[in-house]
Amino acid sequence: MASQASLSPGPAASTPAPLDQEQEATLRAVVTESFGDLFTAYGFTVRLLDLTHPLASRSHDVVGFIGFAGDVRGSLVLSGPKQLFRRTSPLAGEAGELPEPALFDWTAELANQLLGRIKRRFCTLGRDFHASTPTAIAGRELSRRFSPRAGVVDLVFGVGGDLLCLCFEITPPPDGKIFRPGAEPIQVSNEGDTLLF
Amino acid sequence: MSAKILIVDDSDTIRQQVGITLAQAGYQVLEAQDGVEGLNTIGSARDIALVICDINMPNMGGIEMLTAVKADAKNANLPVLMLTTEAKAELIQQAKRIGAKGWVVKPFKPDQLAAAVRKIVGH
Repeated sequence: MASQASLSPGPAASTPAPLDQEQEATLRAVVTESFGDLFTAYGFTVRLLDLTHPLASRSHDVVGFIGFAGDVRGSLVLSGPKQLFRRTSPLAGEAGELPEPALFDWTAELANQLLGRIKRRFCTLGRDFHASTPTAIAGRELSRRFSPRAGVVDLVFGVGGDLLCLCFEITPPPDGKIFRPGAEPIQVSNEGDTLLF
Repeated sequence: MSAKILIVDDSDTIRQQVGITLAQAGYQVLEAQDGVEGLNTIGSARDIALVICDINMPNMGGIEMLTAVKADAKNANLPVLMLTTEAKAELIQQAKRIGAKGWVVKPFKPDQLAAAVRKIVGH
């Protein structure tokens, strides 16, 4: 069994510096715009709601997760009601029906596609990370606990009459600069681009 | 006889979505859920005309699978089209150097994907 000493964080694991207002604002804008673009691409109108919106604390029953690592690391959690994830699936029938395994798969894929969009925007700001593979779980009366901490973006969106909660959590580098002023953009292609060689 | 296309992606939704697009365009479709299963399918199935492959997958990712396909003399001419949320130019260039035929950034447009497949497969 590992001793307590070997489990304690070393000097490199010092608490990261808090984000300044500009970094927080950029991070929030990147996450919000990426979410809006994704759901707009699937034909949905998206409204950003206040976290104090009376419906924001409504419980959910399906959650998609994906992590990322690299110079910056963190996770993305997308939660909402099953009927909303069903309606957004390209495989749903006209009445929005979708078998449960397909619903889980699609929820995970949506988390993956959302992180892909966030990553693309990070790259244009000179910051890259590697995504993990996504997953999803279902439950009853799942609810988010909002955490007002540096590097955590909690958002609630109205999407086609339902609510979706998004939590994007990032551990900044030790200097607190997720986005470095004047950083060289990393070249990326756009969503939907088809390149033939 | 219609050309046979292998879709390698860990998402059932994406495999089905691509499968529907290709079946409507008149192609036969095979599926694999990661690079390991993809290589096994390539090894066992005959006459695959094209592989459409994701990048981030469990067990074996798309770049590793592409590398393995191109390293095998039997499959060196098998065209591989990458279909992924990854959009970084450096990664796209890496795939091109290894021998990929193209790169599509998700979410894809079905008509554009079908057109790209026609162009690669030739019919």
